[in-house]
Amino acid sequence: MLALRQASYRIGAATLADGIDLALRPGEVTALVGPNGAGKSTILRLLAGEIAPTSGHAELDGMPIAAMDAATLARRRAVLPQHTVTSFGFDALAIVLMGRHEPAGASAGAADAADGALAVMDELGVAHLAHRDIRTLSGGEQQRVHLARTLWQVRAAPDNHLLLDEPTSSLDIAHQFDALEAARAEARRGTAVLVVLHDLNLAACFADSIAVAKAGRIVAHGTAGDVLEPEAIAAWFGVRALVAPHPAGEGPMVVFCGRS
Amino acid sequence: MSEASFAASYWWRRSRAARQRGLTLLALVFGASFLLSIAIGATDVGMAEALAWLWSLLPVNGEAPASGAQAVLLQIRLPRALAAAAVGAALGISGATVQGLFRNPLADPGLIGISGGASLAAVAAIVLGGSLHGLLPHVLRPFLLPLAAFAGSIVATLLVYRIAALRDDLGIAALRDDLGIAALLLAGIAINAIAMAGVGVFIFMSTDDQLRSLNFWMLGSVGGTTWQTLLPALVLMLPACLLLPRLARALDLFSMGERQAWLSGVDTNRLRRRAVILVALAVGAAVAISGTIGFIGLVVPHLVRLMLGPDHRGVLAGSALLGAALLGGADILARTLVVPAELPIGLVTALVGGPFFLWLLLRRRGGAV
Repeated sequence: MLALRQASYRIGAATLADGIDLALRPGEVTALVGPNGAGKSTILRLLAGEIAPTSGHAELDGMPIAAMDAATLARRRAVLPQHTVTSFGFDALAIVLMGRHEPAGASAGAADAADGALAVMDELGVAHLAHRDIRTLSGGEQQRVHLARTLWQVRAAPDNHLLLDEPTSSLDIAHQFDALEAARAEARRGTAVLVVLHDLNLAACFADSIAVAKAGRIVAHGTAGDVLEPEAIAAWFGVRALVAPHPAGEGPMVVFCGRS
Repeated sequence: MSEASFAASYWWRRSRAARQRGLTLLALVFGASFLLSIAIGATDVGMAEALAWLWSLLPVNGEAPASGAQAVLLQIRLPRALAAAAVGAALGISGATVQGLFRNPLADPGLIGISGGASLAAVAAIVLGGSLHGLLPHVLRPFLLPLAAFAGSIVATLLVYRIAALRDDLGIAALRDDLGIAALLLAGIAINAIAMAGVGVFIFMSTDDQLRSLNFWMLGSVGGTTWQTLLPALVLMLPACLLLPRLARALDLFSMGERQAWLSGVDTNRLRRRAVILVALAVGAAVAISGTIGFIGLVVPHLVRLMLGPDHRGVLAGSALLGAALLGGADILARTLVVPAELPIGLVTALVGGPFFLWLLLRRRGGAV
């Protein structure tokens, strides 16, 4: 289990994360929402092990993450950053295959690996792009290819952790559903998933719980029904919102009416 | 398996096989270039004879009959051909590594201070040579220039690396967004500028004679190579050619940025350290025996990427082979074009390679390079 316990991160006089308690449970999707500059990406970096908390703890299965090297961490969690710019014209399949940094010389399984990676690309509807230069793909296509790469990485081991930073930011609505559906399916395989989102309705739709970040703190964490209240949304995001039961689903639905 | 992924799987197998064929082709081209550089010269011996002679050199084939032509081959032609091949391979594979490390097809090994440091030290050795001779043991005196060039390149590279690492220690790169490599680039530019200013000072101090040999060194040559200078250089270049290909997978991941590479399991600090050390040793040794030869480290990886694709397993090995083949070819031109004189090999690589590269770029205008 990947967890932050009273974790803070300060750089100079700025406190980017302040006493964060957050544990990712296997089999669950946690959505992390919050206004710009709330510390969502810092929380993700703390969980990923990119930065160590300046106070408090970041732990993987009870061990401090700071003590683990890049290769060990990569086998236990996969991270999709907001943007990935690729230099050189790698084809999309090569990019997905990079999800597993296998030692050199393991070429016997190379063909199997390619077929496995292609199966993941198929799930995200990008198998037909496998031979294309990644740099010539649209932003949304690139994002789906990189999502496929992270899924390929995370499936290398059971009980893994998946951290997605705004995986839907350049996707059309149908592909937003596809991407989050893939994240939820991954959770159903036993993976613990954290996904940073801006769209509260998507969060309500796909996440088992929603954590709200504001000014470096987690100010609320619970099911969509518990967390999404009009007054709270106004306080966190500075917008007026109505919350109603989703006409076609189980959870709540948020309708925005303007700035508060 | 869907139709799309079935087609992609087939495509993947075919493109892998094509890469293998491409590498084999490059190996053949290198072999031909090497044979030609043994065969061609003031006394032409022909390809078949050159091959037979090389075969007879192998210890299992017994003593070769000594003749005048064969003494030329053994003492002059073979070390020279080996030097061209080794220097070309070292420059090619180092160029490919540095381009991968900087994620930039315009990077070349000079960026991390190698050529600046080597030039400064070599120029100092030429201009101050008389007074420096006294400091060296007798046996090393003939090797003052290569030793100085090698030491200069290593010192400059270590300096660049330490300065960049210092920035890391200060926590500036704490967020791991490509700052490590940016720091390396900035430190390299600064050290190169300082070294070049030093070169300018020595040029200002030099006599006409010194200026001439200095010029020749700066343009590069494998002409004077002897077994005594070649063997130590080979020992330094070999580790790079054997160990750099092991970094191929990590360099592939590096193309997505230092942060993403680290997230995917690459120890980016170790990769940077290993790559810089191996490149510094190989290029330092290459510069020491041949002077500064431009173009190979920059353009060869480009050509190989056009041919084999960007995968570093192909690019690193291919760049070593093509670098060796092209520098062998350039050396043949250098010693045959203006007989009995010789052109500096760096002049040939730039004169032939520059326009060829431009043509290649213009021909592919519209496509991604």
